Parts: sequence; C-alpha cells; structure tokens
Amino acid sequence: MVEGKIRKVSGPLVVADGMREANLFDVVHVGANRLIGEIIEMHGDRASIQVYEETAGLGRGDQVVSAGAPLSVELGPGLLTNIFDGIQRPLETMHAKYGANLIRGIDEPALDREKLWHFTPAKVFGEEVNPGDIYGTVQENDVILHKIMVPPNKQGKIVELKEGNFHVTDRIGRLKLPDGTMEDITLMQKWPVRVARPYRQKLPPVDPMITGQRPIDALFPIAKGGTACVPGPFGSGKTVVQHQLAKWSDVDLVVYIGCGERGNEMTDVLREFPELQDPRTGKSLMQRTVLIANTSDMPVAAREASIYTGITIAEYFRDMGYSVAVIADSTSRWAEALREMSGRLEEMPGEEGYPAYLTSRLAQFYERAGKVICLGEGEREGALSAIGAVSPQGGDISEPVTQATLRIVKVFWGLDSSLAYRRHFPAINWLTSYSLYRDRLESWFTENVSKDWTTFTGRALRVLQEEADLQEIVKLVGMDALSAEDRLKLDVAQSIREDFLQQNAFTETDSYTSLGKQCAMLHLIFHYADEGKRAIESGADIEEICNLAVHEEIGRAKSVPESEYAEAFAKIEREITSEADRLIKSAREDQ
Amino acid sequence: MIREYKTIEEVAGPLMLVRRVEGVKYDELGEIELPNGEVRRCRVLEINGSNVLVQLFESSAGLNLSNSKVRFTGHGVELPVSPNMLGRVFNGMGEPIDGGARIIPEKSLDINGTPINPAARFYPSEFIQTGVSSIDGLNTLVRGQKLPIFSGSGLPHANLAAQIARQAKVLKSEDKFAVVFAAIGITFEEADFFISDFRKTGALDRTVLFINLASDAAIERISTPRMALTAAEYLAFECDMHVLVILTDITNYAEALREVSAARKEVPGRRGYPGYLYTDLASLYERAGRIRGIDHDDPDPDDAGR
Repeated sequence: MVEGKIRKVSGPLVVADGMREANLFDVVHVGANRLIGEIIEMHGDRASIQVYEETAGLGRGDQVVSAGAPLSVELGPGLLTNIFDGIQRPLETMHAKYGANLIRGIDEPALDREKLWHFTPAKVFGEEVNPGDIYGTVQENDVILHKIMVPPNKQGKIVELKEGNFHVTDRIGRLKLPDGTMEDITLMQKWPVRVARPYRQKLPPVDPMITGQRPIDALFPIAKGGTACVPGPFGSGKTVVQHQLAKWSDVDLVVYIGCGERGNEMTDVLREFPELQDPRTGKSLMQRTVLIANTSDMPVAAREASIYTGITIAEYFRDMGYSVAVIADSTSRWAEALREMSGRLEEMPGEEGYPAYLTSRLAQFYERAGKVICLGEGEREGALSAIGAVSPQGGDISEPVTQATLRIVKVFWGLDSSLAYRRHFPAINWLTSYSLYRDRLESWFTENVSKDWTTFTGRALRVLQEEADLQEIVKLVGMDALSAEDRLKLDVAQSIREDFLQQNAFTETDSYTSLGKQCAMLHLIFHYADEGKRAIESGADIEEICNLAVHEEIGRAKSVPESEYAEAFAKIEREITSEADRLIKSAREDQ
Repeated sequence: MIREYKTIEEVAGPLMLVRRVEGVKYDELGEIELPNGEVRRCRVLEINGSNVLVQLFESSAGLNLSNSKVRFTGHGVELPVSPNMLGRVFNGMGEPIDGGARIIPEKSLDINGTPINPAARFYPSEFIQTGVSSIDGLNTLVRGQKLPIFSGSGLPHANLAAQIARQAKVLKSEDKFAVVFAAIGITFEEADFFISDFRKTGALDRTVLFINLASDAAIERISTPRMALTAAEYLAFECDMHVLVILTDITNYAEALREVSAARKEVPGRRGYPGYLYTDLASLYERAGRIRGIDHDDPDPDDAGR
C-alpha cells in the first residue's frame, strides 16, 4: 500500500508526492472522501492522477492511497439490464441508497452482492481447464445464458465444482493451479479496462449486422465485428440513429455508452427499452442491454474511462461467443475529456488543442472490435461491433476527432443538418456516406436475402448519384430542358429518397424493416422505373407517368406490416404494369 | 483558525498568485481585504505546493500587492437560500441590491450543485404551454427540458424570453410556479425590460432576479448562472415549486470563461474558448430535469444566447 501526499490540485488533475512505489495506471483513493482516481504519469516520486470525481475541497498534504491494482471492471452475472457510471458504479443502487444526486466518494460494488444466481456446472471433478473454457452457466435472464469462463490468465485442474445458488463472490469450486496452489472459483472475475481481453484469432468480418434501418442495411451496411461512425452536427438525429441501432440490431447484446451526453437521453433509453420487444426473441429489449452513463454534468475524467469500461464489458460477452454491439454516444465528448486532461498536464497540443495521441487512442478503442475465435474449447465465434457517434462542433467534419475516426472505421454514416431541416430522417447523406463492407457482404446478401439485392442497392446508389448531377443541370437551365428519361430518373430518385430512405423511428411498422421487405420495396420502385421507361419509349407523356396514382401506393409501402407486405406489394406491382399498359395504349391511340 | 496572508505575488487580469499558504482547499472561497478596508471575493483555481492561484470575482483595480490581505473561508462559494428570496433582486454574487434587508437563510448551498444520477431522472414528457404557436406546435417546450434561444444582435430574443416567462404554464396543474431570472452581462435597458415586464404582469412576486449588468465585473458572470440555478434547485426540490430559469446572455458567460482561460494561458479549443467549454456549459444545463420520486420539480434553464 503506497501512501502519498497531495502537492497540486488543478481541476480533475491531482499531483501527489511520495508515490515512487506505485504503478502507473493504478487506482488511487484521494483525500478524506476517498475519491477514486488513476495514476496517469510518474515523474520521480511524483504521480499525476486523474480523479474521477469533483475535486473541490482537496488541499495540499491530503492523503493519496494506492489500491495497488489498475482500474478494473467486475464481470459476472448481474451486468445485464443494469446502468453503471463511467467507472462501473451501479447507478440504480446508488439512487436507492443515496438519493437523486451523486455524492462524492461512494464506493459501491458494481455487481449486486446480495443476489443469488443458479449455477449449473459443465465441467466435473478432475478435468483440466484452460483459459476461456466454460466452468458452467447461469441463466441470467430470459434471453441471455451467462457462461462462467476460466479467466484468460488462469488454468489448472478442477478439484471442486458445485451446482447451486450462489452470490457472485461465493466460492463455487476450487481450481488447482499448475504450481500446486489452490484457488477459489467465483462467478465473478475482474479485468483491467485498459487492456484488451485476449482471444485466439481474429477473423475478417463477413456477415452483416442487420439493423432494420433501410439506409443502413441497403446502402451502407455494417458487418458483425465491424466499426462505424455517425458524425453529425447537433439536431441532425445522431442519438435517434444510435437508439435505433441499439434497439433493432440483430446482435445478442448491446452495450450502450452514453458518454458526455444529456442525462435525459439516458432516461429515454432506461424508460423505453424495457417496454420494447426484441423482434427476434419476443422479450424485452432491456434484457440484452448494458448501459454505461456518464452524462455531461458528471466528472470529466470518468468520461474518459467510460468507453473503456463499456468495451471491456462487451469483450467479456464476446468471449462467451456472443455477438455484441458497443454503441458510444459520443466519442467527441470522450476526446474532449482527453483534451482537458492533456491541457492540465501541460502537454504540447496537437490540432485544435487535442493531444497528439488522440488518433492512436481512438485507433486502440476501435481496434478492440472484431470478429474472433474466442479462447477456450469449442471454437466459439464472438463478434464485437463498435459504433461511435461523433459530434463535430459546428457540423464541420474536417475537425480532428472526425478525421481521426474516419481513418480507422470502415463505415461512415454522415448525418446532414440540411436533410434534417427538410425533415428527411434518418438524415444519412447518401452522397457522402460510405461503407467499405459492401463488397465483402455481397455474397451473404445474395445467399440469404435475394440474388437481386446487390443489383438493387447498387442501382439505388447510382440513381441517387445521377440525380445529384441532374439537379445541377436543373438549377442552371430548368426542369423543361431535361429529356423525358431524365425526368423519370429524377422521379425515381425522389421515390427512393422519400419512399425508401426516409424511415420514421417513431411509428411501429416503419421503425424496423426486414431485409426481405427492404428488397421488395426496392423492387417496387425499380419496377415503376422500368415500366415508366417502357411507357416513355412507346410514346407516353412523362407528366402522366409522374402523376400516376400508384405513386402514392409506393409511398405507403413502408407502412405495410411485415406479415402482409408480399401480397400487398404484388398487388401494387400489377397495378403499375396495368397503368403503364393503359398509358401506352392511349399514346398509341393518339397517334 | 483563519489566517490572513500578505503574500500576494502577482496579479494578472482576473488571476492572483498567493505564496506560502497552508491548508487551503481546491475551489475554496477567499476574501481579499484591500488597504482601504474594502473586501472582495475570490476562488481557488489551482494549488501547487504552497502556492495558490486564485480567481477574482471582482475587478482587480486598487489591489495592492504589499498591503492587501487574503484569507480563505474554509468553504466553497455558497448561496444563502430561503423561500423569502421570491420577489427580491440580487447581484451576480447573490447579495441583495434592492435596498432590502439581507436574506435570513434557511441554509447555505454550494453553488456548484451535484450531478443528477441519470437513473434518478424522469423523462420530460409534460407539455409546457407557452402560447407561442411556433414553439408549442413545432419545437415544444417540455417540463424538465431546456430551450436555447439563438439570436443575433438586433433580434428580439428578450421579448421572446419574457413572453415565455409570462405565459408559460403546465396545463391542468395547479402547483406553484416561480421564475428565476439571471441577467449575465446584459445592458441596463435589457434588464429593465425584463424587470418592468415582470412587474407589469405581477410576476415579480414569484420571481428571483440575479442581475449582473454589462458594467459589472465580467468575471462575476462565472458565478451568476450558478447562483440562479442553485436558487432554482432550492425552490424546485425543497419548496416544491415549478421553476422556470431564464439565463441571458450565455454568450457573455462563455466570454468570461474565455477571459479566465486566456489569463491562465491555457491551450484554447475553438475560437479561443477553452477546451472544457462544453463540459462547463453542460454543468449548467444538465441541472435541469425532473427527478423520480419527487413530485414536481424542474428548473428549466432557458437562455437567450447568441
């Protein structure tokens, strides 16, 4: 136990003397309130400490005690449905115990120590176990089977393993380590947040993470184990996009990190998720969710820790063989926390005051995502997808955090405030956004959805691109100068934008669209495009085509429930064909 | 025992360095006694060994390095609060300036407040009717929410803010309603507009005013919004009132923050504002909210900014 004395206090930064024996990145308790901090720099016996709580009231000479271990999270049953702060203190429990405001220096264990879990062993006496092997399971809730694993740094022979109801800290068995010492097995393990949990092998991501969001799945898909970022100026709907992803993504678990954003947004998640039904399991969405909340009024240093806390929890579930999504809203706030600490440490700044190591830190974070073969028996495959929101100030994506993020992530969903002002939601700009997974996921979509999928989505992107070019001409010389075919193209592009890309997150039928329906919707739009072209070639008037009543039917296609769409769409399709035939016939008669 | 120090080493802008001090705490409130007996207030910004960097809340004019005395009070900046604050006018540091007697405080509250546990929040969902159709219809104001008014010079943001304060009501609710108004570096005329508007409509009796005018010390503006929010939290959470907070103009607040940051020679973020501007503003705005378990409670900071 190393004890030092405070020498300097400057906001969340505390410098203490007499800390030579402490390790870098050890947790320390600062002052009489035992505020939690972490050593981030050492000069001789002087340690710079970032304190995760408000430092008012600290003074020179106050005691600093090292806990002798790095900042770690508790991993075990009880994580799900819970809400934690940036250093994994349980906020619900703290609310019940200490009231509505966060008081400093509360030391509350992350996992409920009182709750009993039923443990079913999968191993027997005498078996040799290696890191990542599964001792047994706990059915944590209706949805998630919690696998109790051998920690990544342990192996040995089981000398005892009991079935029964246990607290997370109870001994469920004993392990004989290779050197002969005995160690207790518990349901809970600890892992330092700044160290990525090991895995056996990383795999290239090849299957999509289906989100049910049309602009994402069809145009800019993300792979399971992939990385994406959502930059957007304020008011462009970043948070709604993030919430939609947390709700509908076809992953086993979601870790949602509210990092430096508004408290009310976390409340929204807390209030809404328990009531929402997972379309795959039929159970409440909250059961597969872990929330990390460090709202903007909570201490800035803990914000820095929050994304590590979140991703470590996600890695733990990945190691069980689950597919996990980490959704961080927003990494800009995290970068600002880095900048604030860097400024207090009087480091030489890089761009816009951000520290020079901003890019490498961001890269380290996103690199913890991926599809892996987990440690342990059974070749379990787990995937961790990371999606980060970025809030560029003034919507200027040339700022350092966005640029650094774009260098690392493979999918960019660029939100556009001008689209948001036009009430086009989700305001994902189809011209600037990209996904580098499109080619890689092609075969999956062809096999599992439809052989037309790639053709349709590629065509949609092309039509939208052509629309942008045509709009330039329209601006210069007016609509009348366009040929009938080009006008039809604009009409189709408008239909793609309004009838396909716009998706209302707040209506029941439109909030989630299955891949099959997405494909059918595109089919409908392109059927209209093809029939329209046929009619024009046979001499029909473009005005009449654009004014067809069936247009509205296509527009309403999105609100057709999943169970009825096949039939309804087939009817619209027939209607389009017969309308086109009618126009062609009347055009012939006119001649 | 309170010690007095005569070891002021440097004064630069709003900052002052005091040497050889003992037992001073971070964020502690200090008092500076000038040779002529005048007392000014300051706050500890940084402790480095036995040196303390303090930030003055008032101007440094007349400060004398060798004859001024500094003492530290042992607590942070606090606001004495009581239900009798309604109808009173205070300066930016929370002292009455309406000629009335001092407040007899029920208690003294730290103006920095404490963050609200996100798990304790209640999602804002109760509509506040403002009677302004473009707000009610398109950009609805909700209890426990915050509404920024972005405006430019020459635009009538003050009229809009006053109109909201005058007309805002929660439908079908008969709870007591109070307004906390903080003028941050605005001109006398603007402040007078609000005060006379409140007086005319009879709203003044249920209003607490904190006035820091453009002619007052710029640095005082850092504490003004916190004073207002502390008073609002007290009225909302302890006196069971609905509170609407109007802060105008946050731009001046941010500029005061920039001034301190520049004086400390900190690395600036965008446009010379300190990198922690966002965090700092959030510590103001996030004090709005509704809390589970308590029935009616919502400071609504609402600010006419740029």
